[in-house]
Amino acid sequence: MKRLVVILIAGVILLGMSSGFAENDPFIQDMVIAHLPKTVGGAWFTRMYQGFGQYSGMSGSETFQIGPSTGDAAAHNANVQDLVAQGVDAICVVPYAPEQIDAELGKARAEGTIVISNEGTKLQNIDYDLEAFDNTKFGQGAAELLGEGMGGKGSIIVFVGSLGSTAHMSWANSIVDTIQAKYPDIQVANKDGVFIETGNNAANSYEKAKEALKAYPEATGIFCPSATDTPSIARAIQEAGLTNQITYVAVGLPNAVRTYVKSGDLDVVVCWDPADVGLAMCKLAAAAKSGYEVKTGDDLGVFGFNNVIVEGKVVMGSEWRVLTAAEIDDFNY
Amino acid sequence: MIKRIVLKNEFLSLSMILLFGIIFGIANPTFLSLINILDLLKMCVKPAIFACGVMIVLISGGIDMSFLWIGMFSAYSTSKLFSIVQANGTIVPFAVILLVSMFIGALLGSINSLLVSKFRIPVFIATLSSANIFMGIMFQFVGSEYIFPEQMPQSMIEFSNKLLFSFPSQGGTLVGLHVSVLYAIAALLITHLVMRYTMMGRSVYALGGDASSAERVGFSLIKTNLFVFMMAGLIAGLAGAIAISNIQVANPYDFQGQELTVTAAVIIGGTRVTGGKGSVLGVALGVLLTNLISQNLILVGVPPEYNKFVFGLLIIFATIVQAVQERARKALYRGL
Repeated sequence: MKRLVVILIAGVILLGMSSGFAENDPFIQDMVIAHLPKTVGGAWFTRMYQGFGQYSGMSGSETFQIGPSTGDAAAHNANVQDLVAQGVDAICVVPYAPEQIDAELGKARAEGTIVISNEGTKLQNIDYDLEAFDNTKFGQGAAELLGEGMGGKGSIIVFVGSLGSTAHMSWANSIVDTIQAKYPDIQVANKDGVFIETGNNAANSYEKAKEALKAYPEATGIFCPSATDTPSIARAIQEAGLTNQITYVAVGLPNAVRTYVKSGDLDVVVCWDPADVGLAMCKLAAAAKSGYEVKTGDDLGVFGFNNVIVEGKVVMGSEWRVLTAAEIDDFNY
Repeated sequence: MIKRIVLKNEFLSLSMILLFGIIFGIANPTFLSLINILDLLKMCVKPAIFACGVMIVLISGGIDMSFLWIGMFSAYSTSKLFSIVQANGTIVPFAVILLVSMFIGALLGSINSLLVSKFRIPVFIATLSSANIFMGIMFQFVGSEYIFPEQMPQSMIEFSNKLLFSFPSQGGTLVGLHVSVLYAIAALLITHLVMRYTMMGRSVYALGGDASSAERVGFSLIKTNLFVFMMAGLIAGLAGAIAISNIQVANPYDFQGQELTVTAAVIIGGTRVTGGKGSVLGVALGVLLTNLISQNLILVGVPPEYNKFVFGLLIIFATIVQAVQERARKALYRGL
């Protein structure tokens, strides 16, 4: 009996300590957080919002999602006004048109609303911007996967979803730079070094890939940064019978590419989980609320953000997932 | 006689196909390889089937802006439905998938027809709005996430791997003529027969030529309109299901923004924008010509950032040649 009481008391004390601990954790705060993605409904942002759900479970916060169903800068601004009027504590926004939403976010902050962005390094009126990783380093990592897979020789075809996409272009450029610096025996097959545009469209990228494989039959490596286009390029490789000849490294969602990773058409997937980004955004909102200033080396307790790099208002993760046939089944998103 | 053949639109498209074929063949001999030609035919399947529907609406005097969303709605809903059915252990044959998708397409087409004939909304506006409505309904009630190869109905995947005749490529896999090319040819042929030899088909030409005259000779405009849009919807449903099967993934946004590429092919094929004129053979050649150009620019060495620019220029070139030829034809008939 006595022992039971001791255990009970110890338990209560521990519980009190842990809950007290939670209140002191600057990354866990009970608050109302709105997720405002570019568009609602797509696979990417739906998955990102699951990170908000995880945070809600950790902190007791109320989280919800709002946003336009198609890319629309004006509607995005109206959403911000609505959220301020509702009096939410924090808005976690993935801006559709950064330059157009910035002023509206300024008004929100003037009302005391915390603003956290993702893919918003250009924004002025924010508490923090969260980026999954440094684009140049990500490109370097992919280039090394290619270089090793190809045994240091051969030639690569580099695709981009759109020639206007900042992220795709900086990864692709970083890949070319790294290949040229580190693997002198690997050439870039693309004519004049210009990346082939796949259009973020499965049918189109399938056609472009088939064409490119015929135009550059000597290619032994391929990189694709567009998650939408990755599976159909794998299919083109498969149909051309180049599964074994080509080392294919690409950005993709595990569920979308599982078949091709297992069949060996896609050798390595580099990816990050949008839900992790969502959760990390919530944690930054909490830090802003508790007045804690995030600094380089901090651990947000989320994969990829265990050792963040802070430059001004931009908080950058430092890790991404590299998945091959051996690991692909461990991930479901 | 020869003059009349030369001035036919189909002859012109065919010569342009040969002209570009020769230029591209010189630029890169791979263009003329059997594999590339087989690939080209497969790439033409989706635009060719969609083009049949676009042509019918164009002949009736309207520009359809909804056919891609009807195609996506029908195909996506169908593959989603049957992927759930499959998850519960029932494998559905491909024919059933096609029929269901075509049925949904025809149903959506009849909504277009209602907007056009009952509320007298111009076709362009009606279909532009209905395209948004279909998209919204699909995202809200059917879904917006990808359907991956492993979830897709088995018969769709099997269809996408089916070749009519095949031989081993250098890489060791089998290459050959894809079975979907037959479906496209069948769709073109049936559209041709219906438009040319049935009263319903002829009434579409009459409606597009002059609606009030058509009504005066006894064609029911409402019936003809219903036929036009149900037929266009049915064809879109077929095109969508085949297109999704061919790439083995259903991405709801995949067809977005291709309205004008298909419509351009139909117009280049000699279909009159203001209605009343158009032939399936012309449309088939128009699709072949535009795809021959757009699918081979990388192969012949046009740098990617110029691809759209060069494609646009070539389309303008083809259209100008046609306009000149149309004028020559009129002059010829006046001279007779």
